[in-house]
Amino acid sequence: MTVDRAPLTEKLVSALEAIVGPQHVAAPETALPEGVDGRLPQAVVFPKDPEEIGAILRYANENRLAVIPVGGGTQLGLGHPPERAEIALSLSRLDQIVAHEPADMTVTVQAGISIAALQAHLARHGQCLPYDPPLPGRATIGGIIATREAGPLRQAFRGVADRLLGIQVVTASGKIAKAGGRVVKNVSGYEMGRLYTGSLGTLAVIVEATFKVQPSFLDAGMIAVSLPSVEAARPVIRALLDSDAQPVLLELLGPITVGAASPAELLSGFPQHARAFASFEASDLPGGQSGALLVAGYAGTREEMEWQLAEAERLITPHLDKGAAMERIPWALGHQAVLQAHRHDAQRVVPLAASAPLDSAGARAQQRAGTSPADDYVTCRAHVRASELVQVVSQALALAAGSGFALAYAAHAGTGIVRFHVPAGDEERLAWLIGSLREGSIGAGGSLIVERAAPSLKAKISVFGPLGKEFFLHKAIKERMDPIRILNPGRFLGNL
Amino acid sequence: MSSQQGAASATQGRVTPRLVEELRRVVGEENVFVEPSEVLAWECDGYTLERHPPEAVVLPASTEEVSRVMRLLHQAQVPVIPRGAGTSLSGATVPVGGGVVVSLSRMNRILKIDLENRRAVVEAGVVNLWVTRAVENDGFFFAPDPSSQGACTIGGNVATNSGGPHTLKYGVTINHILGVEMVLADGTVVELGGDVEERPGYDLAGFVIGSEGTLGIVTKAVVRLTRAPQTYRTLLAVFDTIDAATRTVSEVIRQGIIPAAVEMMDNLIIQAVEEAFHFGFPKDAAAVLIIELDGLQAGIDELSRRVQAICAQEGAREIRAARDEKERQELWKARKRAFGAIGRISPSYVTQDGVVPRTKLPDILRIIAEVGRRHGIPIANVFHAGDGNIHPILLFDDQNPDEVERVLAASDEILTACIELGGSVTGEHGIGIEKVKHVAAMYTQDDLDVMTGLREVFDPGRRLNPGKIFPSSKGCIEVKRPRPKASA
Repeated sequence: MTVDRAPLTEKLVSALEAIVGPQHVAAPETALPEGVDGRLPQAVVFPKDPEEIGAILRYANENRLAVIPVGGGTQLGLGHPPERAEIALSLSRLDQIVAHEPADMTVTVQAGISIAALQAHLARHGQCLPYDPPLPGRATIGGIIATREAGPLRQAFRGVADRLLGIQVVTASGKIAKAGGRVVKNVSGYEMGRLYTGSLGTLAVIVEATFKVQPSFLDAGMIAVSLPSVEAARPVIRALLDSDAQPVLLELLGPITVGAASPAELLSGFPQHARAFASFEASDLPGGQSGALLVAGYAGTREEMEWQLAEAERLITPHLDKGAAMERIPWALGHQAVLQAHRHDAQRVVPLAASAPLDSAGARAQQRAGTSPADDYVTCRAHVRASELVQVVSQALALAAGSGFALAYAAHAGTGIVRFHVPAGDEERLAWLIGSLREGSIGAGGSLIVERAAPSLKAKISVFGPLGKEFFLHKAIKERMDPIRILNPGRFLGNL
Repeated sequence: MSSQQGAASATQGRVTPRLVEELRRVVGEENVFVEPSEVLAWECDGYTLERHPPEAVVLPASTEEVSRVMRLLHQAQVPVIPRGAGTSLSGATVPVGGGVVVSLSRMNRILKIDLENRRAVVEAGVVNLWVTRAVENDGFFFAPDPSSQGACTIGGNVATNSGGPHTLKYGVTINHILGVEMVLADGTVVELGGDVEERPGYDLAGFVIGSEGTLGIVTKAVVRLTRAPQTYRTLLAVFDTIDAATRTVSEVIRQGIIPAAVEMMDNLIIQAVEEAFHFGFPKDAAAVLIIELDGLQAGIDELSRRVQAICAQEGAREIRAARDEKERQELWKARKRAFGAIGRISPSYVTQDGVVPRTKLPDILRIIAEVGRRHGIPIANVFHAGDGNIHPILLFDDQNPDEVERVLAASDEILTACIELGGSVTGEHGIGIEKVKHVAAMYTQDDLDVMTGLREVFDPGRRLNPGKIFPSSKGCIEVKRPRPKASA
């Protein structure tokens, strides 16, 4: 990847050092070597608290410098490449649990804490935050709020904002502002948490959040079903969702070769398979790659889980013909495979080394394993009506096959969210494919965003799709909250 | 009342005969009310301590009519007060500064039910309970269930982010709305969100929920339908002390059990409900808990036994389990009619709404009892204990100005205590006009500046539901002395 290297500005670095101390300003070449979509900031700064963040933002405002908030760095490729990127602002030193009262089922944390660290703390009290983003060792609370990345468990526990009770941010003008509170019900004032959730750091820097937590699963199990075609999944999905046995996750993955292996083998091999698949040329493909894997997870007490698994098996059985197979699998195996099916680069890392020690074992492991190149494939995420998901996937497969693309997919089947992965390559053709996939998603009542693509490809396409007639409100909100456009300028919908 | 910063008030237009004529052309002669005797019905809502008649009331029948009405009111620069069923308990629909009430009551159609995607599209004036009624035979329900659910509207639920007893497990209104159609102050119709999960851009549908009609008039909503549980276990636990009841609530949650609902009623409420409906509650009990578990048949009896054991261990003197659906419905009827029963023992009452962390329930209940004693105001408690969401009901005679003063003072002290205990001045009723002054105690000026700045994005003239939520240039609304009782 080519990187635009802006000259390191002595003035900027000394101004930042005056705010946070010299040991907490790092050169981007070491702290954020891949930059943000190819744009290298002039400095990476690691403030310790909201007050320091406020001072940095005020300085940025006075000097019209762009600020890129950075959590775990797992979603730095999301959105358009920023127009400018002078300061990368890491939240990694704001990594504390501020308050946790188990009997209140609420937890207040700083934005830079990793999901894994928070889950480890909650687990000691028999609780969890029921979100499962793909890279928990690195993904931070602030990051999952800013990007709305909940994970497969959203089937049962809905989106990130649904458990967000209160939030504190530093505004673009450098003021600390909160909304909501630390109690489970609160209707005083506007739902600012909703506005910040998914805002990709374009409105304010998230510094603290309070969530409603959940008792840990006492037991959890999964069933994997291999099906001869993606179309064959539709009646199974319908039957499972219409049951009293409600899955906590329901994932549709493909393509696979039915009969090549057991569902468990197919599933555990799926990430590598799909990864390989996404780097094949279509002409290299073995025949019969049209099957699908459906994975349903159930949780509860042992008794609840057992009843649900049995009920699911009863519902699936009538659909098992033409080489389809069903198998119970351990939760851990299935869950890991599902996450990797959504993000092949689950091992990839953007090191934020300077003063940001990755403190959980998982994070270290991920960092050690991080090797893969950045732009070997392209990922799009579509949100469609759940009832039309299978049709959208089916059309995408036909479209890809007809135009010589290898396409792998992973879907939250009950909520109508699907990721398509295709190998990177000719950008004109990819732009055409993305446009066609987007048409299919819009036809199913939804939208499609490009989650992962090289900056050169992003320049040829629309990352977020058509703006819609309500765009004037989005624009006016951005103008109101960040009039000088210092926060992630250009990265969001409509290059806001 | 001062209005030195009152740019909005300086330019506030009046309802002229010509404007009335234009409004009538849009919605029909019979759907505009201007006579003082007619508009009196809209002078207050469920919060009766403050009354102010609107200058006119308009009842549009479609989004198109709402839009045209809003354009006319925009041209005339007249304040607009959106209104559903008027069940607000915080005065959210009181026309404190005059203006025109736009009532959504004629927009009451369920437009679409999509069971496969678990959605329904409804007009804003649809009554909450109608949604559940429309889908219950298919095994679904609309989860937010405020006590007023037989009257309150979806538009009102959206405006105040309503809750209800079952929010403990199922969440509040915002967790069940996917999209809204909204008419802005200038008449522009926007669709925020939609019927898929999440759209690119800011989550505007989520943002406008709970904004109490200050950002626009919601005309339609896409609501989430929830699958009905396979079975229920509903328990009534009787306690000799309030502390034992609140300890039980904390212990149940601490053990990782999330009931669908945990409701508490204190002695005064028990007596009132018993007088009115003869459900068979022990009239000498200090408190009862209604604990509802729902979910799968598998394991629910075991769960019910665990909860009963916790109740017994914390000192419940009696635990009854509803034996069938009829007994379950009876228990819920008792709970939801508690407010009505109060009407029999007191000429007037104010239902307060506050939240504390669940573990602070014993503290806040002691404070409420003490405040009631000190001000000589009887206070009954019936509330969502599982959420820490209290509803002290202050009983008084609204013909007695001194009692009114004491009720207001007692309310203030209770709400202040909620904030001090780490909670909020409202869990589900909203700020309205009643709690405007408490907002400043919960938030800093910087916090509020962000919110009011966004309000101006949607409604630059601040004409939508003025005087609500935010302490503003026009916000120093004095609570008026009582006038004749509300006809309701």
